[in-house]
Amino acid sequence: MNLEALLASGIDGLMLGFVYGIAAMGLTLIFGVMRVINLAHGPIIALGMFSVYLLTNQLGLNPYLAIPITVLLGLAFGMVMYFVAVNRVINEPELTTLLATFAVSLIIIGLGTVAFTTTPRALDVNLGALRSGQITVLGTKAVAVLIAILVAAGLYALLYRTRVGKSIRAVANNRSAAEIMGINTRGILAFSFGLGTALAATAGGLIATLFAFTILSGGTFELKSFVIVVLGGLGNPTGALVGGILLGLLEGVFTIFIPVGWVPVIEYVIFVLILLVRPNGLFGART
Amino acid sequence: MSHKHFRMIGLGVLWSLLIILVAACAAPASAPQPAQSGASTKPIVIGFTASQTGKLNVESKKQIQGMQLWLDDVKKAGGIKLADGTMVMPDIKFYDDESTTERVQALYTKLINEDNVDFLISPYSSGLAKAAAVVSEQNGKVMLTTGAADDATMEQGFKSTYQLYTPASRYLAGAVDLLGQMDPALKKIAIVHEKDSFSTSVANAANEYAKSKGYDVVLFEGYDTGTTDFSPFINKITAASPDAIMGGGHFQDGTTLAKQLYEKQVPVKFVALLVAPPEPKFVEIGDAANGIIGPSQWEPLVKYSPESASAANLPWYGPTVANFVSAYKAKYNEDPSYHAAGGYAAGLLLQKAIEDSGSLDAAKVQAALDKMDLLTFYGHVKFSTDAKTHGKQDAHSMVYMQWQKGADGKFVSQIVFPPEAKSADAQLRK
Amino acid sequence: MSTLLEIENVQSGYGEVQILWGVTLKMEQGRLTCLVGANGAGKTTLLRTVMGLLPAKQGAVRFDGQNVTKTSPHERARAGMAMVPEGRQLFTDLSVLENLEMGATPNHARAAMKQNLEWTFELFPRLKERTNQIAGTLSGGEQQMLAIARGLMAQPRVLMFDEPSLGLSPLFTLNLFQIIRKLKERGLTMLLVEQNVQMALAISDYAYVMNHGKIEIEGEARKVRELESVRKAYLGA
Repeated sequence: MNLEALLASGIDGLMLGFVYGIAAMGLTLIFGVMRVINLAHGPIIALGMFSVYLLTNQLGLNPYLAIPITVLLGLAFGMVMYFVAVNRVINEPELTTLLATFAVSLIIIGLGTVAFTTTPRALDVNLGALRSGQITVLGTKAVAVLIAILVAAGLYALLYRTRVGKSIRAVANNRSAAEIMGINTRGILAFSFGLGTALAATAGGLIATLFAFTILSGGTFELKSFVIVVLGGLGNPTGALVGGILLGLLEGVFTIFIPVGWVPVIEYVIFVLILLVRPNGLFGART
Repeated sequence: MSHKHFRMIGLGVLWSLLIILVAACAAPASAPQPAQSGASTKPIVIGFTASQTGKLNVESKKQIQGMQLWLDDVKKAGGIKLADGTMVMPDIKFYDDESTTERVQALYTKLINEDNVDFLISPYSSGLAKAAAVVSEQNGKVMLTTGAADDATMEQGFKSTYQLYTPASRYLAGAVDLLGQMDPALKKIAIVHEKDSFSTSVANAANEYAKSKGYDVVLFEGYDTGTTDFSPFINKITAASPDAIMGGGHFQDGTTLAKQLYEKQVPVKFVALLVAPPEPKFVEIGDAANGIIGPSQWEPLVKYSPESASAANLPWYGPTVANFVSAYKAKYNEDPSYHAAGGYAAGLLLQKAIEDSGSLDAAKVQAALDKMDLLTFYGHVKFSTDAKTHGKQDAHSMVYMQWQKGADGKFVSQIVFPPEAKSADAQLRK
Repeated sequence: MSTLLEIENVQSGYGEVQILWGVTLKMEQGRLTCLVGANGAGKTTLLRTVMGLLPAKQGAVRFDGQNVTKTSPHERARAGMAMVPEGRQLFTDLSVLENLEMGATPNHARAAMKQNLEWTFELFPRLKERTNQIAGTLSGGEQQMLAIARGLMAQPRVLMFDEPSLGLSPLFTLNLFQIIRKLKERGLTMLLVEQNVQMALAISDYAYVMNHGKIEIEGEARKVRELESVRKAYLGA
């Protein structure tokens, strides 16, 4: 067993795991606050990829400047999507809201394919690399990790230190009580949904700085997000971040031991095991 | 409450409009063109499906552009002449298959039974062509497949299906030969491939061939189709210390793999990947493209010509390479890819078969296809007449291109193998 | 004396099931009004309708002269209506302090939050000891204190209690009514919905007795206490 290859892969996977974590945080936040499963999660990740790509290529912006803009665009998109597609059915059973978000995902994919076709796009971002033996730490990956950490920290500051954040947690805890406290729960739900989609779009934007993508590329990350959300505990953002990092690490490490085509299978086996053995996830659900 | 009812109706209308809008954008299309009036013209319809939506839409579009160029040329020539002097004026009819086999099956059935098309061409990609062939064979319709290289599909004893692409099993054989030519001392090969049926069959055949030629296959592994990050996998490959890496899958993974091999400065001297390197967009990855080799069904710089045909004792048919390239460029404002060449060739060979048989009768056209052995701008075409592999492409071979930096620092796609087609010598990767 | 909160001929219920069959109720400013009745009489339904959590099928709710029947609960809260719900409905994942902060959401309450926190902690010294404790881990009595404190943080013009003594030990129940008396002394207009009829009638100014979704009896509390029917039905005499 080649130790150096193992270490190199572990580091590669761990770093990518931060980005997985951000995406998963978006999905789990929406579920935690309003018990809605956002099936448009994948397409919104893809929209985040295109947002950074277009801002960089068409407007000549630095891609790392395009990312905060993408965060805001993701927030706006989510709030509009909430009012148009989700608010009407927010009190219906989970299946109805799932169908609503599914419909939106189809629309995004349909319109996106027409607008962008499925030609793969790529950004050419070069920030050099740190090398030591077989271990290569790409500049772009390191920056992605940094941004992911900043975004996660920002989310925590919001949720635990601001009135809006506490209102979100209150609404998540007991919506009718929050309403009679004077909290505009509909507005809070829209904002929370927007935060979730902003996180998804951010993850997409970071991915665009690392790999090539098409409008359909969100799918793989959406699947990973679901696994991570269950792994970390439904509605638990900390669990999602840690779960994401853990999954990335596992992906990197397993690749060395088993045929690489089997690694996704292992992920889904883990998913099923967690559902059976610890359905509240490794860190406990927060609902 | 009536207020709520109005809102629901309004919502329903809004959603319906949205759905109609999305559906309209993916509407079926056909290209009706007025038939030319001539001595006595008979219109025929050639049917197929296009992947206007879904992940195959880029390649499918190119294939159809090639077909449409052929259609233009036939119309300009006044049509196809039958034995009794009738001029046949072909037209095309196609629907969107959304890149899925379910749609292909439904739509080919429709083309045959409702639209009563005369001949068929396959959709782009082995998977979809396989689905279409099931339907066309059931109905005894003649179909030329292009964009489809899978071997297994053409080993089912088909009667009326004819394959234009070089089969997958021969895709990387030339790469192994090229490696031997460049440096016989390089003996260790890593074969890594996407886990779809096409890439897997190419990889398996390459594995067998390499071993039979005395090479040491130090790693043979398939990766999941959706893989976006190859970093951990590359660490594994590097640990096996190969001299050459071969395989890949389609455009996205091939591009990422090449890019990440470069980023990680993997010291491998020979890299041959499927599908991605021949694409002009491949060079967008910058210096990572340098020295990457790719097999291609066809490249604009190939040296097939009426002269090389007579030298090989073969009849020549159709436009020259130069004419095809310039006509395509004039019409579409881009260089033709091999998908486009395959699309044009499908129409071209169907035309030849109709001319040779002098009739539109399916059995006679099939007989003409069975007898065909000729050279075109697309290359040498000959179909297998063996019962089990009937219709499989026997003669067409891959050409191998390599991205090389010219004196001006720009990348050029040179043909480096086989010797008859080459435009430059192959280079080892530094 | 002005009418601060007025419920006029309100009909309401859950889906097909109608609970309130035309309830009319008035709350005078500065007075403690109580609403008593047997289980299932519709008391909680009435409070929820007043607060806007349930839509009134018919009738009107007027607060300080304004018709608020069509407004949402959070708008009513911002106007100065506050409720201590049945079962407390605390934010069990948030800390004691955060619960109180959420109580102070309306703008006027937010501005005065610091002062209000101070006198709330005076009223409830046990909460002061536990500011950072997660609300879900408090005892039943402490949770009830927090629910009331949270309601007070809104600096409301009218505070409504839905069965506050439910599930409380006798000691805590006594404590509860002491607190209500203190608030009365401060001049807070309150509506007390209670199953403990004896205590409710003892401290209230005005009383309503509800049965089967309708007001049966109303009047000054001490007079209602003397009524033969009331003594028989609710006071076991």
